Amino acid sequence: MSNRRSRSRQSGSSRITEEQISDLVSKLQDLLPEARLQSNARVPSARVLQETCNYIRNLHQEVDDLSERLSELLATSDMSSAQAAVIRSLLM
Amino acid sequence: MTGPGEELAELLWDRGPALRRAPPPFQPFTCSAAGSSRSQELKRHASDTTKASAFVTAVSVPLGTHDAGSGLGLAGLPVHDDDDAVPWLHCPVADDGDGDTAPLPPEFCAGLLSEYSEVAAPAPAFHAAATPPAEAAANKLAPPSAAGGGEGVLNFTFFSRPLQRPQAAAAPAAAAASNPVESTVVQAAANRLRSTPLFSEQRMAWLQPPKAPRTTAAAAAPPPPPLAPLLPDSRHGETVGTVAQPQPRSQPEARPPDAAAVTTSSVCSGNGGRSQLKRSRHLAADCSVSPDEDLDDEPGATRRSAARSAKRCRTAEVHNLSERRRRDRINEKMRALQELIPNCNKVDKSSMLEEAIEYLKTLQLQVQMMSMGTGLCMPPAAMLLPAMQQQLLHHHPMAHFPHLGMGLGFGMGAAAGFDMLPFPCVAAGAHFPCPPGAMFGVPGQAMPSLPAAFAHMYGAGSGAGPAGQTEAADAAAPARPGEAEQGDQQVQHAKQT
Repeated sequence: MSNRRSRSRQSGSSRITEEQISDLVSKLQDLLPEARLQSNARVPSARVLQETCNYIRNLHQEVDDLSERLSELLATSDMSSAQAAVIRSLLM
Repeated sequence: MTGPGEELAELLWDRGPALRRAPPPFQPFTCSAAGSSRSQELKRHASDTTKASAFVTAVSVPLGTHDAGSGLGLAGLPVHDDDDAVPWLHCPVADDGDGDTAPLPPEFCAGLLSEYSEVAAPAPAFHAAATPPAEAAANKLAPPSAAGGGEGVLNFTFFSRPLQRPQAAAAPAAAAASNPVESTVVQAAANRLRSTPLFSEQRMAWLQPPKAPRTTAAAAAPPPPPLAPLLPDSRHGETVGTVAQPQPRSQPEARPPDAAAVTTSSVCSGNGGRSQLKRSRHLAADCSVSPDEDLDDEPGATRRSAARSAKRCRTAEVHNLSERRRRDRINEKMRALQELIPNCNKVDKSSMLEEAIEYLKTLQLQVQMMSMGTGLCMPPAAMLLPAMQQQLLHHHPMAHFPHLGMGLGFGMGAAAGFDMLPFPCVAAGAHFPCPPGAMFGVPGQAMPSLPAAFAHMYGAGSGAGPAGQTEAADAAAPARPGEAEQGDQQVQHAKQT
């Protein structure tokens, strides 16, 4: 009896965080590019999180590529100091 | 073969002395080996169970010897207070050994049975002898039946036994009484291993001892059927009704007809109008007749409800399992996400997710900036972000080929029909590696802060400015530094985050 009650209370408290989490997950889903998820459909949280992970990895990869390119640019191109500063700031 | 009547009388009158006789060593197995057929001895025991409750408990011990296959029962024997029952039990065995298989007249049987069934029937001679204490009376009642020796009588005692068993009204007695049923059935049914799970071990135990005398049991089996019809008549009406009931139960077991008759009759007597102890009957029926019988009774009901609850439990379990699996998956992804986010030491999920959202935004911004930077500084046009592409659509050629000569840019722009674009630098464009800042003048105001950084870039790049700037470029020029600063700050902010 008490066990059941405690369990229900626990589930009640966990439901709040569950709601919070689903809310945040939907926010996360909004940040994802459309191609990754059909935003209309109800996407399970685990899938959203998975896609987020993949997307973050992709972004990391992209950032790496871009920084490499920028550094190349910085090294090769004859740009102004302001340009170089901006690029350097981007590379940071 | 001696006359049953004499033997009975002898026994009856010997009853008193027998009871008071010094208890001889009780050795049921040796007795049976001495001469009486095994089945008879069993039946005797069965008949013993028909006695008063106290006596029934006493008898259950010898039965235990049969069941367990010896020592146990002998050891347990003295426990019971009816010690006088033991000597008595012993006596009939000897009698059986003398003259057994003497069929009793049906009338006698009827009288016996009627008395057992407590119908107000004319008591036989031994009834008179049964005056002493209740135990003694009960004991005396039994000897004739057992001493009758004839299979017919013994079978009748079978019938009467379960009938009396409910009267005993003692749980152990009932259990003990169910044992005889089983043992007899086992013998008569010729070592059939039934698969009732409940009593299988007991049955196995019982099967071992009776193996040797089984042949005699088979011989003894035939008599019952003719007697069976007599039995219900001698009883009160209830039994007649119950006779038909159990038969279909035992029949599906496909036992030999004789054995079937024996068992059914025993079950019938078990029903025997004594509905007060259904439970004991269940016990007997459960272990003796068929496992499927309990489907329509209390045990079956409980089993069904148990099955239902078990199913409910299973569905709940499955649900819990799937829920847990889902949660595990989410947690796993959460951990993966946490690893991807630098400096994320948040413990609870929600703050971790918030952090992930912020980080994702930052990453997107960073990629945007960098791609713009590369896009502005490098030829590949594909690096431009959609927003910027929209913003710089008209300046496409210039924006994408900043290092190319203005001739090309102009050529492309002209080819594209960008008549709205001011090309004051057409003439001077060749001098400047970058497009003139004026080009960003008009769109620069509408630009978001982010591309403004690049506007600043270009502004800085084309710091000298083209010689002939349009009004538009002039108008845009004052706004440019502010925008550029803002964009710069934005970029810095993006990098910091």
